[in-house]
Amino acid sequence: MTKTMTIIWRTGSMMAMDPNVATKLASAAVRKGYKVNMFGYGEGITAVKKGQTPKRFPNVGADLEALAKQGVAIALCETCYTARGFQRGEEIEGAKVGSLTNDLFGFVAESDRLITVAR
Amino acid sequence: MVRTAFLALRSPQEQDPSEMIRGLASREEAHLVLVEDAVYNALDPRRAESLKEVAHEIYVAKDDLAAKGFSEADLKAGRVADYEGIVELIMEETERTVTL
Repeated sequence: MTKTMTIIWRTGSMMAMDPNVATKLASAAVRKGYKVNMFGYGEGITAVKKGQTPKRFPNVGADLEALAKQGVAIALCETCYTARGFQRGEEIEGAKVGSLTNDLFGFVAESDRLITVAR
Repeated sequence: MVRTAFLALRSPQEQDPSEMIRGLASREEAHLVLVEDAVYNALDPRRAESLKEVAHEIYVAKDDLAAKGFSEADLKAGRVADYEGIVELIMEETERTVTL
């Protein structure tokens, strides 16, 4: 049976490299054949904003979009999302505007390992 | 024995991982993973020594070390690992993951 990893991130896309560590862990896990879920909340929701152009920095939005295409389930907290003025539809393709209750708890329940990348 | 992967993200000036690890696991249980600015812990001789006392294995993220202009030859503790190796440690070689 395929093992499952869930990664939680809550640091903003430009605050530290935490979201990039989260995507690098997810990519490595996918390459190794694990099932991966990712959940973002707090300032972490900025990482799923569509249309990021960070120029000289890694584009974490593009990395997350690529992971979603590889089958990684990505969800984020709607409360945190709308609290920061985001509207549904402003997120990258493949990211689900969801909730702790419906999405994170489901991810955790099915996971063999849970990793939080936050400070 | 609960083998634990400790994930450290912060610089040595922000955090000393040793105390938290000592409180949560024995040396044999503790595997430490240094990513982002936490890689600097492995470059400082004194901090490296204290980490070796509390963790029997120390992984230093190769990408993050190289991004800061250092290499394995500069390490005073641990060895470099790529993200696949870190995932292997988390998924197969330890039972729990604690972010410091």
